[in-house]
Amino acid sequence: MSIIDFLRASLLQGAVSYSAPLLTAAMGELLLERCGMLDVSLEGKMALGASIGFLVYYFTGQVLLGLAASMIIGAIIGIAFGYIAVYLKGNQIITGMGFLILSTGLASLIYRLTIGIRNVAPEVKTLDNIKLPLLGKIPYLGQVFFTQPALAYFAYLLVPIMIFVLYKTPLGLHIRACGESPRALDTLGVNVFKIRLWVSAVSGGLIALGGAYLPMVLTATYEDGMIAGRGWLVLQLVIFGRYLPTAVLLGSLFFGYLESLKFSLILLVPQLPPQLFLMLPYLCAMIVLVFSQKTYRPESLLKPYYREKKN
Amino acid sequence: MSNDISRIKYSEGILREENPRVLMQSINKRFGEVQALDNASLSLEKGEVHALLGENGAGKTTLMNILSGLYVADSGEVAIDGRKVDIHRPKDAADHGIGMVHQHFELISNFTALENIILAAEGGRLVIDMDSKHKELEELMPRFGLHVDLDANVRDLSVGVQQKVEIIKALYRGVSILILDEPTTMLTPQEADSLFSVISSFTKQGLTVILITHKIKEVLKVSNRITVMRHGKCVRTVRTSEASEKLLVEIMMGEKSSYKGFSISEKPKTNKIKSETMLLVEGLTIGEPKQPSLVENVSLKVQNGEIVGLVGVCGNGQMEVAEAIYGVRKPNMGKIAICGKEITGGSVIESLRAGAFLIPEDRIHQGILPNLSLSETLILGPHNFLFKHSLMLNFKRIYELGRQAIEDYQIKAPNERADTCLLSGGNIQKLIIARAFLFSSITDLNLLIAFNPTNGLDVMSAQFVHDRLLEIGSSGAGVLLISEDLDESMLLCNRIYVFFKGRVVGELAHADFDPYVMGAMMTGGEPND
Amino acid sequence: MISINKIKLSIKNWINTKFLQKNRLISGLNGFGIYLAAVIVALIINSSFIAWAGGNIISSYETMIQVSLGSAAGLGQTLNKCTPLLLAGIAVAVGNRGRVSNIGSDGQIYMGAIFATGTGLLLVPLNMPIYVLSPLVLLASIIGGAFWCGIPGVLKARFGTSELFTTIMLLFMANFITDYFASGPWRAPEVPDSISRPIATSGFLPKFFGGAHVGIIIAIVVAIAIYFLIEKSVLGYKIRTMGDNPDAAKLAGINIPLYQFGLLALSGAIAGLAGGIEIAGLDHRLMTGLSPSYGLMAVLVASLGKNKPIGVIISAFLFAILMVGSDSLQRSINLPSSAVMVFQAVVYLSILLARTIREQ
Repeated sequence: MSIIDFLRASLLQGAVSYSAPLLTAAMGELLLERCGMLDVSLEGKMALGASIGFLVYYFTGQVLLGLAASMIIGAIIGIAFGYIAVYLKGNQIITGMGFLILSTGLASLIYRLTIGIRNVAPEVKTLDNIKLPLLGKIPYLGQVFFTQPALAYFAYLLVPIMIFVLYKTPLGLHIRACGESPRALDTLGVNVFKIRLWVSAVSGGLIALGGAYLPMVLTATYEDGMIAGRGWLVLQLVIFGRYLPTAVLLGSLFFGYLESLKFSLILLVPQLPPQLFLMLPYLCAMIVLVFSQKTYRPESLLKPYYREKKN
Repeated sequence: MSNDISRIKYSEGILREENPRVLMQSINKRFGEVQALDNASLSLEKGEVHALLGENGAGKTTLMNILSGLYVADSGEVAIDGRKVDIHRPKDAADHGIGMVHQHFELISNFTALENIILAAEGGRLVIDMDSKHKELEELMPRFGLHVDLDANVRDLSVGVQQKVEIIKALYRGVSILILDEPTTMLTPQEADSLFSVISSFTKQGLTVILITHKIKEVLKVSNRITVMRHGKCVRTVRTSEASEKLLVEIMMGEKSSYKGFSISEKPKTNKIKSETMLLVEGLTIGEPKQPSLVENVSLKVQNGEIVGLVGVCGNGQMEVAEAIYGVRKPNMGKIAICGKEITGGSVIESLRAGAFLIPEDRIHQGILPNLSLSETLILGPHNFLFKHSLMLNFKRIYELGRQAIEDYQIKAPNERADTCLLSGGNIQKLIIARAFLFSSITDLNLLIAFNPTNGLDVMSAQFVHDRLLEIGSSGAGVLLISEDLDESMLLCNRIYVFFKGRVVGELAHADFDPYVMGAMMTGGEPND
Repeated sequence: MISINKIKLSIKNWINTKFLQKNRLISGLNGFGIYLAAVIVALIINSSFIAWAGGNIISSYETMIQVSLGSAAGLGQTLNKCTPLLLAGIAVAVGNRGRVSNIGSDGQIYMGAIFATGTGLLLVPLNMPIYVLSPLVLLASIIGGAFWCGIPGVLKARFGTSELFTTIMLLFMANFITDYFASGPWRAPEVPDSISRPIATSGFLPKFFGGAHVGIIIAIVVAIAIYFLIEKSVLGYKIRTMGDNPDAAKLAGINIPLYQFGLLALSGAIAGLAGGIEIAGLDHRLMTGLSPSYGLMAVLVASLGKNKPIGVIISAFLFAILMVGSDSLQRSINLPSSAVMVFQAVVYLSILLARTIREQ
């Protein structure tokens, strides 16, 4: 076992691929948290996105329909959550937990009611890797970064788009202002409630899309529990990424790498129980979290906005 | 209601032919049980500085919040330049050229000054052109005699500069009716003067400025006309040239105040003279990695029966000194002793045991238990001494204490089991004062630290608090008063330490109190005359 | 000496505070209407899933009630399911009172089960009579749960790390550790899955009517004890103040980090006990899937019950009925087992919505 084993091109290629669902969902949650809301039901939204996306793809054969369906269902849940958090001023953590269980349950229930009982689990054809014309030919890097499924390219494109929107457009300024001080924005005549609701919808769509990535690219089937904590991981990613898209990208790559690595480690070190390596991403997440507590956070995170505040 | 406003009488003998800039007619606003505005009417002329004068709770801010669209009136009408307008949201007000600078700034501390100023006024393009905005503002600011560093983070700016950012924000939007809510609360006397000269230059350019304040001296200095508000009504409007301090106080207070002294059933224990010096601080130094000189080599003393003030612009170290004394913050160096007992670097419970007690700055967020009964809020702090030897609470005793406090301090509450959040601000402060007295009756109260104790209180409640502080001082305990209200400090204190950039830059005895001298010290300058 | 006057005064006080503050009487009646609407909406939504599965709605609800409450065996099952829900619910609720969110209590349930199984397996060679050493097994589970939630407690106290995440991460890790023990060192040789050997019978819990084991009695005793702790004791007062306003509590001398750690450890201990009772009373073997997300359901149960023991007991019982009822529907109309999560979430969200609307 040498350093080369840790840097094999296929390992890193897998890392980039595994990081894409994390990144997509993380961009959605980043947008949401920058706007002042926090959704703990990520895990459930991703499950629902995976389930619905898989089902639609399975029955229609159209990848794009499946992806669209998962985004729509994510947006719907996002709007429901957003409405309760913004207009009804409900507690976001408690409401989020309810949606978590609802989405997780629905993901499984809808799948089972639709598929019924079968001997062999239904499968779809996973997305192929697309090798980019010029860039794909670069040795090593070409394989790692530029031979990926289309959804992965999309995930990475999201980063510059997010940066552009958040920092260079008036909309982005308003979204960030919503997260810092909605009252300041409201006194200037901007409809804070509408912004938060729309962001909720878009964010929900992106998160569900992240979930759909898993059956469509990685496993070809849907299984209960396939999200395996990625949703929770994304929540932490946004925090240790200090709410900056670029840092979140690096974080996703890191955890994608860990995921890619753990299978190799299980094979390389058969003396140790495999569960130890399976625990690795979660343990790492915890350790990184411990050291990123004092970071920046949008000032109005989790606080509902009341326009007429008396005491 | 007809638009023929020439029929409306406003202010003796001042009947104009042109329409007033702003006319607010018969505005009513109720919040739950409280009638905040009761048939209030106000008229404003173009190019004037109009002061809205009244004590805390009179309705001044509420009335202006309605004009600026933050609140919606229950009934009544607003007319601008003679035409009736419907203002339901801040945007409507902005469209009519109305802008408000609130008492607590609506700035985003993590944004730069520039981002705050252009927020929601970026122009309709897809991309924000920061450079052109920068240029625009560099041209705008000198026109009004203002200047700020556009690229600085607002959190790094001083309060006076932040206020300028707020004003520029309004000007950038072409505001023609500017409302300033208690603008001088956190300014030094010099900064306040600078603000007033800026206001004068505004009116010369045709802006109408409304100044919400409770400070009579200010009003006489800077305004053209004054409207006095009381209990939600606009009682009277006078020309400043015809007004005097005495007249304004009379109008503000109305009937003779019904405040009488209170008698308390449990007087604070007379302090057995254990030592002369209640509080001794020597060489206190506090620093953090990012802020190395929060407090630098501060030494101070509070004697038996003294009320000592720590005065300075917010953020110059007074708060950190108090935190170190109370055990909330650990100093890097120095010594703190209460009645001779050293407590440097100790925890809150150790300070409590040494006889220190705190009246916190933010009474709601730091002082009460909103969803517990007010009796349980009352014992928070004293609980360390009330139930020292038992595992279970004695609710009978707790509610008994609550009843006693309601009676002694005339706290307006349904009963002793009511949720604390139902109390009004003034009553909450009474509860907290009751708590301090409870503390002193069950253990030694050696040092009372009071932090902006009358913030946001009406005159009667503020007077009550002042009386209680004096009472505690006269019982032998020492009182450390940290207040942003210079007048209050000068009224109550025997001695004042002036803070600037973490150091004590001056110590004055009562006889030498001078607001301008202290104002100069607070900003590191030489006192000018 | 209790006099009539004193009773009258205290009833008057109670009416005063509950109903005559802020027109609470009026909103009390309005509230009933909103909750009724919430329950009806929940019923409609849940029924639609039953219909999708091909079942007759009325007879399905009949079956659910009949199976869960209509017979001794059914009631026994319901009580057995109610036990871990109740304990986990109390664990989460006690944390919520102090403003710590033990969302990953499933992890502590598993760790409690692991410690219980380990102790139980160790006792096998001793050959003691049945039920005698069960207190030891349960004690082990309490220690296991306290340990597993003590880690987030230390991290929170020392570094301020959010327990919301750490308890979840530890949950996933506990799953893997359970899998390791159940399919590895403790594996039952006759079974191909990751199920462990059974623990010693001396560690079992006795059963009473209908197959219910005494765990439910233990759970209710714990709920009552927690009630006295939180509402009536000095320690409970400090916890409540920490939950209501941590800043004010800190300024009153309460050592917040220490109490947060202690509270998390306590919460973990109670959840661990749930795991231990599952082992000692029900399954007698360690296995993955021991907890069908009792911990997550407990978050809903605690919140529905407003974090007070009596509310938690009622919510836990209600959710247990849903669980047993859905199980029976799985047999009769092939309703997938995940329906129970949907049912619970729908009920929860509707009532939460009703509450939120009322607070407008």
